[in-house]
Amino acid sequence: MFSGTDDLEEALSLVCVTALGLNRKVNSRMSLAECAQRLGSDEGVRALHLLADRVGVDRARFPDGPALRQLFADEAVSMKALRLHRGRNVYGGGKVALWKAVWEPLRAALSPAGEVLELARRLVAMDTTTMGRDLSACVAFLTQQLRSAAFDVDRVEVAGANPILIARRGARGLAGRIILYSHYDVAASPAADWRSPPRELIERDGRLHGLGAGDNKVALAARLHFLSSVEHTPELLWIIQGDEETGSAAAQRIMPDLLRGLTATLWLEENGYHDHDGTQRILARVIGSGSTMNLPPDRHLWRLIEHLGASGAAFGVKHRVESRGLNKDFFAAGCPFNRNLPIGARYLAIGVNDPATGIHQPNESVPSWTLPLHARQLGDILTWTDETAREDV
Amino acid sequence: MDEVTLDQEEAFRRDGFVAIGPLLGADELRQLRAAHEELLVRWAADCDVTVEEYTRVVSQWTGLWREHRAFATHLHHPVLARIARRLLKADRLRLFHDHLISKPPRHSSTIPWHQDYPYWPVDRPRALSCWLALDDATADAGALVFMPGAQQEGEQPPVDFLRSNKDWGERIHASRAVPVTAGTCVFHSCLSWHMSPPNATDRPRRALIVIYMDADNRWDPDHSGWHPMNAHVTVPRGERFNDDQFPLIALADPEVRS
Repeated sequence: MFSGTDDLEEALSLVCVTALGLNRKVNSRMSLAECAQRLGSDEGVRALHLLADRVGVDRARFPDGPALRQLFADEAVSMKALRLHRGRNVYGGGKVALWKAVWEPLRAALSPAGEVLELARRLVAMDTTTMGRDLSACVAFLTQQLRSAAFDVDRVEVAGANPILIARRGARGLAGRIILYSHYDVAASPAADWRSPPRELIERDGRLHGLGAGDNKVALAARLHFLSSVEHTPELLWIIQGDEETGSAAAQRIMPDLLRGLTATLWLEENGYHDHDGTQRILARVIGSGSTMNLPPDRHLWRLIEHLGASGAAFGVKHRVESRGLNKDFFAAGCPFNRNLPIGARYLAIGVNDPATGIHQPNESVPSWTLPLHARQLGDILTWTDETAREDV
Repeated sequence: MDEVTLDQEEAFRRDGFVAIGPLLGADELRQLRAAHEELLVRWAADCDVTVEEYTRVVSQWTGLWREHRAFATHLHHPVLARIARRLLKADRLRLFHDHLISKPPRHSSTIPWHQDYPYWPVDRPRALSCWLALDDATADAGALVFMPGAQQEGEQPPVDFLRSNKDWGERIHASRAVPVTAGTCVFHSCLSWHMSPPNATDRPRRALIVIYMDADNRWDPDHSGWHPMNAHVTVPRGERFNDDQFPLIALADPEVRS
């Protein structure tokens, strides 16, 4: 009998990069020996405890320095015994002990919630490419999910196009209004070029692979789960269209009227990116007019950026700010959401993708570690919206 | 006198396991334990640690027959081999591998419910383990526990030993601990569901396991993930295993009850 422990190195690598703020691309998969060197040092143990504080885990759940070093030393003996004379460690020590001592206390904080994965799995499983056979089923699924989260859902039907869902939910204890934008359609990608079935959400090498994972079904699932489970929210308006990958014909027609006269504390874009090293790319701007469409963040947005940056720091990542919209100009008419934002609107794009996501490409994927950070930052947005709306008044 | 009774054969078929014995005498057991202790000294030195440090961590070894003559001789123990052949209903037996599992006092834990076969690069579940107790394996010392009859439900996906959460529900009450004295063998199907609790006593609990398979089984590396025996295979996939590393078992009596 031989146990499956392939993911221990991946888990400990994630702990290392998060605790020590390392470059996520360079250190995405470290050997156990490297993890031992980094986490077993005095600096590593201190960083582990500080990480626990930042993500709300009791640091008493971790072994002290000597005990942690002993666990790594035991595992080193295990690996040597296996290599030299096929000796194995099957009880308590070695990999199992490291898993329990280091990863299990942090697992819930550093890995995606099971409910998000399940939602994403169901969304990816549906064929929502142009003329896809599951477009109607996806609309029904999202409608049901939104209604069960107490949203009022209107389906805007436009001839020759997929329905646009307009979901509204009144304030739940917080001031302000957030307008969110998403889409449920995906661009096709030849199945033959994929390493795994494109409509199966597969977790591999710390990433979630699946057609539309990065554009934008995983972010959609993350937000759906977050807004379904959080207790206090401001007023929410969520526009979810189904033709973004083919030029958004219907949305281009209805969005001007839909958005005209609307005000919101924040307009939240469908998704956003991290750099290869993990640095978060925060797109934040105030909508101007004419040639000054992208105005820099105002003082309120800067305060939000500080909150988002603090959450990023808890996960060991830096951030940088760009005053522009998410680049989605695949069609001449552009994104109907971006094009119709009112003057003075505060716009934010953050999300779960990175440069390896490869939207519209085979093996599209999302780094798993971004999901718990995204959930935390959605919480930051709610709190900030409440504070800002009260100040605006 | 038959080495295995019809009742025992029927119990193996029905439950997936049967304990028979003692089949080994005190001298044979003493030789095997001494051989293991001799190897421990060598292995600890290999790892630059003391035997105490080594045995606190390492507790299972595969391929002992290549390391010590006592274990090589044990593979062909005539009584054990004949019983294995009867229970497996095979014309010829081949070794898949042997291994020794130690549950040392204070340094063991639960091995969760699992089947063995899903981890093996073997094309069909025509194999059984002969689990020989080198020490008394009492219930509190980590005796094997089986779910009788579960082998008849076929192969299930391999259990992840780090996250195993096999839930039998009410059926758990049907599970059966099989405490045995030193020298007794528990023969169990490769599809049997079994687990073992920690050794809560101050005594060692060592077991020497020989996995006998039908000699006509084929190498199928796609059936499982990584397995240490793959490194010893020299035949193409789909072929019978090579005799040098997976030796045929000498059998004194070729008759097979069918």
